[in-house]
Amino acid sequence: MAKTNPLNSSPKQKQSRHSVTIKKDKCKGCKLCVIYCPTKHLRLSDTLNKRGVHYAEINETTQCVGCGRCYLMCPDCCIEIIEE
Amino acid sequence: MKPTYKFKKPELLHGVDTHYCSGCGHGILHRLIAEIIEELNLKEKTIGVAPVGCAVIAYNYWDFDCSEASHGRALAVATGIKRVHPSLTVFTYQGDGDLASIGLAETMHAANRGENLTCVFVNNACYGMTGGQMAPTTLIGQKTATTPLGRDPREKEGWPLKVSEILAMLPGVCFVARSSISNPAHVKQTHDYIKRAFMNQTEEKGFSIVEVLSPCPTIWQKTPEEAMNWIDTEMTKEFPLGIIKNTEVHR
Ligand SMILES: Cc1ncc(C[n+]2csc(CCOP(=O)(O)OP(=O)(O)O)c2C)c(N)n1
Ligand code: SF4
Ligand code: SF4
Repeated sequence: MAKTNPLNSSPKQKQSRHSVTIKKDKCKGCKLCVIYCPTKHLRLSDTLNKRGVHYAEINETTQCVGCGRCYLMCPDCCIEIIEE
Repeated sequence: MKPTYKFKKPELLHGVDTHYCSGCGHGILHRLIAEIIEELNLKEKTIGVAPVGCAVIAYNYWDFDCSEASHGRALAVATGIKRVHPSLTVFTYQGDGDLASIGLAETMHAANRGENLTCVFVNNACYGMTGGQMAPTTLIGQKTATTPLGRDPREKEGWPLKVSEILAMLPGVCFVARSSISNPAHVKQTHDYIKRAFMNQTEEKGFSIVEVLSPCPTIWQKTPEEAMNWIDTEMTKEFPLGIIKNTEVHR
């Protein structure tokens, strides 16, 4: 079985208070947000954006904890985090 | 209802696409500087001086006043601006080729005069813009366009130049720190150091410089992730992180 992240595996899981917005066509596909996200909430897309790169997109199977690591590492300021 | 942002693009960073390569550290540093100027409420009171190098059009990305200097002369231009407008916060943003090679004289003398300026020094161990030649900060053994067999200090290329440590010896310099942007914690640390360097100027403490170890994945021929790891495993051995000097210059 695939290892699940303890932060996301609770059966009583509530809807996350945080949501991530990604400016798809600004993304240069450097993948730093994907690498540094502790919950694997981000991944690279299968399709290409206007720049012709596989851009960062949200992985719905996990939740955002609002830590901002993706925001901190993004060289192109494509990512913002909204708190509900 | 308007969304509440926990992390939001600073207003002082234009939303335009940058010309930087994927995973380049300049983008992260541009954002940090915009954040800091916003936090310190210095928008109308700041003039930045852009270098020659990959960041040559940095002023296109910031929404505050900037000037451009010819290669290496950013601190000389900044000195002029600061002397005419002592109430403004003036900072330079310079690469290692710009600050430590062609501009070494301007750098040393501005620091030695104890100019009340802030300098952000982007060390990516190479000349990025011109295609990856050796910089003074290139590591021993590092392959570049002009050191295809790796930098050999004994043969002809000398040792990596530790500009920050040298500048720390000058009495006019009040704050010298070296940080990196290789992971989120280091990015936050860099934010704090650069903010301190700006606040020192407002408090008229003297010359402050923050050297940032920054990735250049293109020239290093690494993925952005590998480039970040290379900073941690290789660059920090030659260029250890931390505060090198923190005092007050008595004028
Ligand atoms: C007087 C002068 N000499 C040489 C050049 C060519 N040149 C442009 S950028 C550069 C080096 C830039 O390297 P660095 O400061 O490390 O910035 P990076 O591109 O790595 O960010 C050189 C030598 C120039 N533009 N002007
Ligand atoms: S804020 Fe943290 S948890 Fe949310 S997507 Fe970004 S890195 Fe992942
Ligand atoms: S060559 Fe290097 S420093 Fe220049 S934009 Fe590309 S990654 Fe950045």
